[in-house]
Amino acid sequence: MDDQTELAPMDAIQSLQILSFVLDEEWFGVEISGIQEVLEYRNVTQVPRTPDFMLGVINLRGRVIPVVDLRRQFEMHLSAPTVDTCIVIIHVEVDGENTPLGILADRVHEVVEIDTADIKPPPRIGNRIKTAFISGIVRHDEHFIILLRLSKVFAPEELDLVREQVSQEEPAEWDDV
Amino acid sequence: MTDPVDIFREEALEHLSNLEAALLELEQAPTSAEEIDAAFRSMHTIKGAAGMVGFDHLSQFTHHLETLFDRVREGQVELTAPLINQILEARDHIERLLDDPSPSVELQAVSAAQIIQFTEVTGEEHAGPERQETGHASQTAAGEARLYRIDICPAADAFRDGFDTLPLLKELSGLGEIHVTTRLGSSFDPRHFEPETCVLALSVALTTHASRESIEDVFIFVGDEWQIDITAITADEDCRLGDLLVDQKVVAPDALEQVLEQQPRAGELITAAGLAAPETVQSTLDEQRFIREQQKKQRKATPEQSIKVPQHKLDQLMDQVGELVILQARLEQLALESDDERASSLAEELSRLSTGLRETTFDIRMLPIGSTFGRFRRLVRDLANDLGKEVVLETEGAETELDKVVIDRLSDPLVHLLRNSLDHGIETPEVRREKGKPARGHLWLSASQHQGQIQILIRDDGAGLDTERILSKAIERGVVQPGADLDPQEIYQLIFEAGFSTAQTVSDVSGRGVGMDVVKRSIESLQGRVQLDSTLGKGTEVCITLPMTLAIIDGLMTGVSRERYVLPLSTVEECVEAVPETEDENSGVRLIRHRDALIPCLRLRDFFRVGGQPPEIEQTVVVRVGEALMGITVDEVVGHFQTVIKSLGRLYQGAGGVMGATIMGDGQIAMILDVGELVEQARK
Repeated sequence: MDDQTELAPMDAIQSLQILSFVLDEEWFGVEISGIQEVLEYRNVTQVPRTPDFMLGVINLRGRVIPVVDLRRQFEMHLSAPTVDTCIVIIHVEVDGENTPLGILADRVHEVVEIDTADIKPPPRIGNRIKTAFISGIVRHDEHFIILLRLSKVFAPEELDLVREQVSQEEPAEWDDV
Repeated sequence: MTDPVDIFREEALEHLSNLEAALLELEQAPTSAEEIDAAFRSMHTIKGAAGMVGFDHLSQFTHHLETLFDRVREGQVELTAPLINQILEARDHIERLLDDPSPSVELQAVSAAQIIQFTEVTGEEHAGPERQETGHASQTAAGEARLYRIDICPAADAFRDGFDTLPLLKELSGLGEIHVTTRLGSSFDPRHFEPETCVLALSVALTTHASRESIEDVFIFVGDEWQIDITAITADEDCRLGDLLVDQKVVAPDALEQVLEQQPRAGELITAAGLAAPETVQSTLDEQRFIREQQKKQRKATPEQSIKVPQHKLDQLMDQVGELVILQARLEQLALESDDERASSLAEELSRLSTGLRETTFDIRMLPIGSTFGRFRRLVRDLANDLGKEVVLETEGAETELDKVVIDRLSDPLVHLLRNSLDHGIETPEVRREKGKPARGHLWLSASQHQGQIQILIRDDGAGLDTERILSKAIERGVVQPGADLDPQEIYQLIFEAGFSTAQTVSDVSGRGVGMDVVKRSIESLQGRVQLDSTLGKGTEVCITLPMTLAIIDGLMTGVSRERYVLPLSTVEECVEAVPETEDENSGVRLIRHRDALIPCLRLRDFFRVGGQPPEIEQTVVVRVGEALMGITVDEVVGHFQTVIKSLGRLYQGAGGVMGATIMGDGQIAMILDVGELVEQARK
């Protein structure tokens, strides 16, 4: 998914369909063409010695799909999975390869159609998350929806950053009893 | 792949590698008719196909090469070493020309220069491709060789009329492989011998691609009284001696039958019965042998039909088979839990089917490793020339089969090892002579299957590894403490360290110290091992051991809390119960006693930070990485499973200690451990 599909040029496309979901009471939106499906939360198998942000992997019809927790990436409050917790399967470019990926969401709402004219650029300050991750903000009903620029969230530099975090951690020592 | 241009390119590349193989063969044996024919055919086919898909320039260029091989075939041009070099360059040029139907001006200039060189050799006018088919219009591009028997019985006056049979035979031999038997005609009577009367009869067995008409054309000028009998023999037709004799009118059919009734050996019996002179029978026996040989060849030459399938379809098939295996495991577990007889018989049936399907699918992915050997021969040859060394590469076990993915990923490390041997191992001819070795160095590359694993050996008879120099270098670089006491094996292992090179000079080929560590890592990423052995002054041997496939492995399932981890069974030595008494509390390192030796031990629970409480008695799996043994402590050992390896994908690239994941019977995921890396990480 590239920037084009996340935020199409204003003059070319009149409206945009996005899936809205909630992370730590904040509303987010992703353009639907990059979304494969929404799953109920299921047990995620951890991959040892990887950053916490990368939750682990799930078995999706015989395929092994990684699941990430954006709340950790965005430094948000973490809450235990509930019946509302979902995994949104998206397709995103990671290191130049189209990769299916699961995003943990506290709640998934609905697909909304928004007018491209209503999309406002992200405010320069006062964001909880990196401005680079946001392609725009749109008001829908009572909420502001943050349109995510997923290609930036999973950009190699960002991944390198989180991978470094794990290597800086103290590796587990030999057993000493 | 339906684009004709793509198909053309792929086929052209195949023909180019055939050409290359033929040329390298011809370098050793410059007159091998078989190889010359192979080279001619590949050029001929590329020329024709290129013309059809609009690669006109390429078609024109190839035409000159075709002409050249034609001349070689006719014996007008000799294949010298410089000429073979030129043709090899032309082969590379063709590969470049394949990129674009209308090549750049530069490429066209290269073509022109090469064409001039070739036309000088062939003596051909700088003519266009119009004058295509030279002397060999009869050569039909397609179709298999056929076997003909031609009986020639010249007229009695043939010699008096100035005819000779030799030119005819020469012309026939131009059409293909021939075998001639001669005998005296039935009219021969020694009492009235006349030297000028022709009493000769010839019987020719001919294997050829040429049509019947072109055979008949050979006899266009002989007299009308000659008896020429051309019969096609099919591969199925049995050629019995008796029948041949009957066909040649040596024996009457009924006489033969009488003799046959008396059995056992037709030849002896016919001779004994005085029906034919012993020599006649003998020569006919020769013919029989020839025909049988040719028939055998023909049967072999008609290969089983095969089709080309794009790689990704095979990968898809493999994936689906993998899923089927997983599904089958789930069903089996369900049947076991529900204790339903019908379900378990179904599960069993499915298990049988899926196992078969899996094996067939693996088999499809298997390719002989020899497909890469051809490339290596060219590489060795070119490199030896560049370095001014004389080297022969001998390969063995080209038919050894490996997963295509493994072959593809093996190619680079092998190239590297061969280069190393050429550059550092094998000395220049002068040095070799001084040392009393033959001037020409030898490189051996062999592949073989050994206990379900593939073993690849690269051996040279070069200088060998200088342990002292390696050691001093290692100390200089701080890899080893001065005064360390290392045995030769340990010293050899040092060259696998990053940034290590003992070459005195850095050459274009190798010696920058990026190399052996990369080789080792790529082999290990294929779940393989590298071992090295060397004798100073005698040579070096590198031994690579690899699993046959990467898609599925035999695994040992272990558990820590609720997590499951799979260890590749090939690394597992044994499972022991770790007893606390053997822990060395002083050093903080957990050691366990294993066969009178203390080995370090890694507790997976701590290393992977798995939650929960360890059970009272833990299990330790002893694994071997290279020469080192290590213990991996887990809660429980579940058992042996066929493990379908699933990639963790890009996101988890570089996840330490894990090589992939597998889906278990209950649908849950288990991590497959990369034991080599685990040991490496634990050491740090």
